Amino acid sequence: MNTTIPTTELFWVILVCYVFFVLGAGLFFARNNKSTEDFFFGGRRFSWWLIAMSMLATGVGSHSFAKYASKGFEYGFSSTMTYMNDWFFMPLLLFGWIPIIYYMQVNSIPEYFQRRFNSTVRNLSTFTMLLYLVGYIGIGLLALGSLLQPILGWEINTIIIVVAVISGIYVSLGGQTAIIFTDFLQGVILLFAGLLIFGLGIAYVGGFDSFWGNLSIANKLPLADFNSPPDFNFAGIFWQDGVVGSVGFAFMNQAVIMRFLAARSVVHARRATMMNVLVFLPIGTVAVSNSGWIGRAIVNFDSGLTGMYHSAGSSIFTRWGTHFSSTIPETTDPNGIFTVVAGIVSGSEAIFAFLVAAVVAALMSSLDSQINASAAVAVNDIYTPLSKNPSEKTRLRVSMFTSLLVTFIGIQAAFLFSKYGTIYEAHGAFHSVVTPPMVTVIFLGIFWKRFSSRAAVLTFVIGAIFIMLGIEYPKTFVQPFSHGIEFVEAKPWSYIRALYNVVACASIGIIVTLFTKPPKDYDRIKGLTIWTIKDGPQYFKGSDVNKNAGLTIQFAGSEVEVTQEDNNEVSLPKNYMDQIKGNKGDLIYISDHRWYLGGLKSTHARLGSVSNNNKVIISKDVSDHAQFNLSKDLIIELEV
Amino acid sequence: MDFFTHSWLPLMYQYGFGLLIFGGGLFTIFRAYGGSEFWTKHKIWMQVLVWGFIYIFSIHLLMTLSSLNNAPKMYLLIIALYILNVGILVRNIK
Repeated sequence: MNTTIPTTELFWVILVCYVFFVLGAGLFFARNNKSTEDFFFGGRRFSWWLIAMSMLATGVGSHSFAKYASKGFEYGFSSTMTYMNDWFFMPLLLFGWIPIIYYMQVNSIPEYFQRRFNSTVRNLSTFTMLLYLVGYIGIGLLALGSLLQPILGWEINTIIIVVAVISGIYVSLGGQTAIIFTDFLQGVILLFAGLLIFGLGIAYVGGFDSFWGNLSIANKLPLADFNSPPDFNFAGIFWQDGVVGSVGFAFMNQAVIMRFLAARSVVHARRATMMNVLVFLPIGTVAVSNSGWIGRAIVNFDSGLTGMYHSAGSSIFTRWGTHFSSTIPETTDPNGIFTVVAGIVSGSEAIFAFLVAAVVAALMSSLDSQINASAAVAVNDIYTPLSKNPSEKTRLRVSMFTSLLVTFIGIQAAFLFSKYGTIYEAHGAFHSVVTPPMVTVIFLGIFWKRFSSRAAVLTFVIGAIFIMLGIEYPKTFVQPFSHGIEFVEAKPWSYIRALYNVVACASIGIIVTLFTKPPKDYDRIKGLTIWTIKDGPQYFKGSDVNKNAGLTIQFAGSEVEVTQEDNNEVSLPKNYMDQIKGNKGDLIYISDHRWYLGGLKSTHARLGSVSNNNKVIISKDVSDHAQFNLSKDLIIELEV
Repeated sequence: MDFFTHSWLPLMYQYGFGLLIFGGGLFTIFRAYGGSEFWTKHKIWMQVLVWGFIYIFSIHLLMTLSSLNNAPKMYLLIIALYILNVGILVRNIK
């Protein structure tokens, strides 16, 4: 059942102003994009806290508000379970994958496959990656449409097109810097809005005791029932979302990888990831799910299941001059529950407008990230290898055009998903099928030196055949992995098939590798596997590592002299050179000392010869890129 | 009503497999980075990794106990644990 929530002009003024403010702020920060590195990676210069908040907005933004609130509404606290199991993979992510992609300057997963294996694996992974990203864009657009539909009352396809056009134009203009800054703003506001609706909801149902009392024991358990019902069971979701989905998101989602690469160093990327998972995600999961829990408490009360009191009292009351239902029918479309609950508990149109605007903006930020990431893959892995030495200007123009193109394809994907059923199921089925071959090849590629190019190709090709066989003959192939989950003809084992797909792909990869002659040496893959990662910092620097890396000095901006050269160098007076213990050619990070800028006014450069006029001499390109305010202090940090 | 398949069974399954994945990951990076050298250089990170595992397991355990025993006050413990976690991370990871 769909409910249309009445709104006045005030609602629309607040919504439009908010979205313009957040998106405008992003474009303001992105006005200095000069190259595709700026466009896609923000110049690799941002601090951990900015990256962490941005990752939160990207992670919980798009489909999460529709997806997890809907499951919170149907099943209660177990909607949080997939947010709370990412930590299992952290050792491998923080000390395996992040150093590999950062030090080896891997700009995309397909590029990693080219260097780790060969061009065939790269092409196969480019196809899979684009499929994955466009699918993500489609899910994001569908989620946004579902959340706005209760307010707009339009056809969902119309909403999808309008939102896609705005997002596509925005990303094509702003790029990664715009996304990181809008994501940061939205991350903060998202948490605030999520906690605000929780507070308002608890007040609405008559306090925490009433909220607690209106939920059943099953509603309050943190994990789902082991193997039932078929559309939400623990075993299936553990493998599909908790394992394949978590690995897919952290290791192969181009948008997340671009966040790691936008960090100012490996340590900052690690800190951002750790804080995101341990500090921000637990709040994030409450923020995205709680409207569903509040909705469930109201439904339980209305259906007389618990008999506890909630403060609305009657089922019809006057809201903003219009008669409006304060109850939630059991048949309410779970995908739009956030908007329905916000409409009931907010108490004023201004607060309701703010809540909806915060979610719309967060949804758009996630969508923006995926569109930008798709463009990065298309430019770096298709356009650049095919064209002969394209100029930076051409690449940037192609990046903008590609952003619009992938948005258009994403719209088609959203139309397709809208026919599948709930967003949760559509996303689950999509993840189960598309992600396993890629996840398997990445994992074996990173953690097994001997894993060969031939095995990688066959994992993709034969893996895809086995996945198709699993779809066609589920009772033969998937049933042995089913954990006793009931077979449903229309959507057979849509979650647990992820386990079958991973086992099939991994078995192929392992068997083929064992039957392939191992290489004589591993020089070609130095720095590209965890067993050769110790070579990474040297590759990144291009010469021997300076053991004193991490030392920092601070000095006044008035000591800086900018030259007209474009050699990306900074020369220091002898006393500073001694303090920092640097050598000519060392990599440095130079930044405005104000931490709250998050690295916006900073850049990377190399140390030049000792300056002979007691000044800090900065080349023009370094100065242009960092946009220093020379009335403020600067800091220089020695890298690797 | 018996909630075993909705509470303890998924908890044991998740943290059984979780421990295998997490422990395997720790062992792999420990070996790959050269054992004792890695421990010396990244001791604080290893401690944070182990702490993270215990912290998330504790949240799930307390939520389960809270639901089965109808004890909402256990959420105060979860909030205290969260604050302790923020303090530990902010203080130790510089």
